[in-house]
Amino acid sequence: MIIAGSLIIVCVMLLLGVSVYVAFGAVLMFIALVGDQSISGYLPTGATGIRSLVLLAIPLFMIAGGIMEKGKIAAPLVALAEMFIGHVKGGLSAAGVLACGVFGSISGSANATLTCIGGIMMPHLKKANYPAGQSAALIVSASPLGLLIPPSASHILYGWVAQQHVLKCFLSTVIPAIILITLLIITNQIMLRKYDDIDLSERPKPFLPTLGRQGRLAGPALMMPFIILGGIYGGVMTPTEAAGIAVVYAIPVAIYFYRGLTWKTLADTICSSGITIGVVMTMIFMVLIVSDNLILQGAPQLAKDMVYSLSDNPVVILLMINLVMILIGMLMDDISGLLLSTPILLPIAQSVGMDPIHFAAVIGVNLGMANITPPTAPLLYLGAQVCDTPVAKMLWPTLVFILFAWLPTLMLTTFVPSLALWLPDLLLSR
Amino acid sequence: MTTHITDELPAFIGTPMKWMLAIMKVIVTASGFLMAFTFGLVVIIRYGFGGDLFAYEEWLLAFSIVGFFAGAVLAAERNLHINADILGIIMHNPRLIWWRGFVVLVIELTVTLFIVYACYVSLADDFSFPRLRSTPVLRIPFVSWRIAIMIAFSFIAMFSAAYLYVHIRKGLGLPLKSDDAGETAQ
Repeated sequence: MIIAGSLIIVCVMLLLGVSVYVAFGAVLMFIALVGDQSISGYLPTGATGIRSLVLLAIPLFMIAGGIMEKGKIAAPLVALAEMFIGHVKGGLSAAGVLACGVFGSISGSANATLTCIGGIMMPHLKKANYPAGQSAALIVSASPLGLLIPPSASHILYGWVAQQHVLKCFLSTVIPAIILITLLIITNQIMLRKYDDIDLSERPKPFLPTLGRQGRLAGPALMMPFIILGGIYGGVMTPTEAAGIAVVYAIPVAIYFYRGLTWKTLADTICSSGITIGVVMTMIFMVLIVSDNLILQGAPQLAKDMVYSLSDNPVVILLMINLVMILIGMLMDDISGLLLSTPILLPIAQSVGMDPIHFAAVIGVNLGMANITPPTAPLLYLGAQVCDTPVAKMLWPTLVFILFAWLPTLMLTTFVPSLALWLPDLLLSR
Repeated sequence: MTTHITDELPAFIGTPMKWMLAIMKVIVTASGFLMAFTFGLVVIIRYGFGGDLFAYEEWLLAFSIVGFFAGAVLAAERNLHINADILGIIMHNPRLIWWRGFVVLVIELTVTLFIVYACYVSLADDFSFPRLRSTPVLRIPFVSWRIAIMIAFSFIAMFSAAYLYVHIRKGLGLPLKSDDAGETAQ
């Protein structure tokens, strides 16, 4: 009764438009009224949960992402990607997808990726007569690559909740991300066939000196993922220390090299990142308490019994898990969705033989897709603002990208475990 | 000029809330810098000097938690906490929109006050023991950041109440200070 009531309350609250953390607070209120647990345990549960060195990596990566976003580092990355493929039809939009991938690996945030790359790419794409709705939808669809390409905040959180190796979780979505990039570019190319009036840019001449110049400009930005990932995978730093180093590195690069920030605006940037961190940590705090209470009430076993009462076929069960995650992701943000679904769905996935690292990849792709799937689709609405394109124009192409790029990637990730496990197995012995 | 929610409140409430927001801003910015530079320092000291920053995680985590919740208060003041605005897309009737906003704000205020109460009960429980639980090395009491969390939720509740006050004034057609500012600008 408590579990069913909690789920109904969360859904009603979220549909009504109540803040996510309040929706979970309402569940706690319901549990306190109906259940027999003391409310004195709520604060220690949440406070002990967020008092974690591993979790500190999330705010630090958010600060680094915020500095990189305001520090004007995206422009040289876009210019570099454009140099290689900007002169072929569809090349400019493909450069946008690649830039989303590269910037995503630096910032680890879908919002920062969309804001930076969308803001820079859209004027170029519109000027070259690329269809606005489709182009904006492509950038929106590519922006969650920041969640798939390491370092990713959601994987840090997953590793922490599921007690898994964070580095393996990071690596689990690299191949799915490459598949997604490929499928997005192919789908976009096919959709562009009917447009004949696209202006193509000239290949820069002389190519190599221009490449050298652009490479030098983009170099400090491109160094960041190498420092972070090299430090982590080289065993030199923990993810949290790497996140701290990322901020320490990003500050002089943004202020003195790209000159996008001053010390004054840096303080404002850190403060505005701090506000985002506050939003995320409050949600984590509340979801941790709710999740703890639901586990105590036996929610994972109940969910497992429900799933098995419908079918015991592993394929059907995995499809059901994906469906539930898509629904959760459509209602809430990726962090809350991950915190709520991991303790409940991971045991079910493991019962059909899924490796927890494989599940990390599935949950990463799934929640990335949910971020752009209507009706909630926070990235879609942000994309409409950033790309200055009405949502109505973006809706259909976004659905096409979901259907022909995201869904196939999700299905491949779910049903071909080696796509998620090969790289972690290769680089980090199990 | 941007109007803040504190500008819409009577001065005797709005002004202290503005001071409190300024303090929160300082805490958020300082904790952001501190987190980053401490971890940078940890790596430098470890590989540069072969040393260790003694028990840094104890004070850093305490300060970070305070920073997180100060950020949450600032987010509440700017109405930035994430929500799924599904009804907002399909609702067009102004009366319905107002009522929905009213219900949402009442729920937010009630639930936040409940969280404050839950924090208070927990803290009362902590203080009922003869010795406070604390971190192993530096002996920082756990209640230090737990009190900060309760204070943060109290401020969040105050901002929910402020938004509810403004929403009711709007519904009753009463003038707002932002309306006066708009007219002056015209």
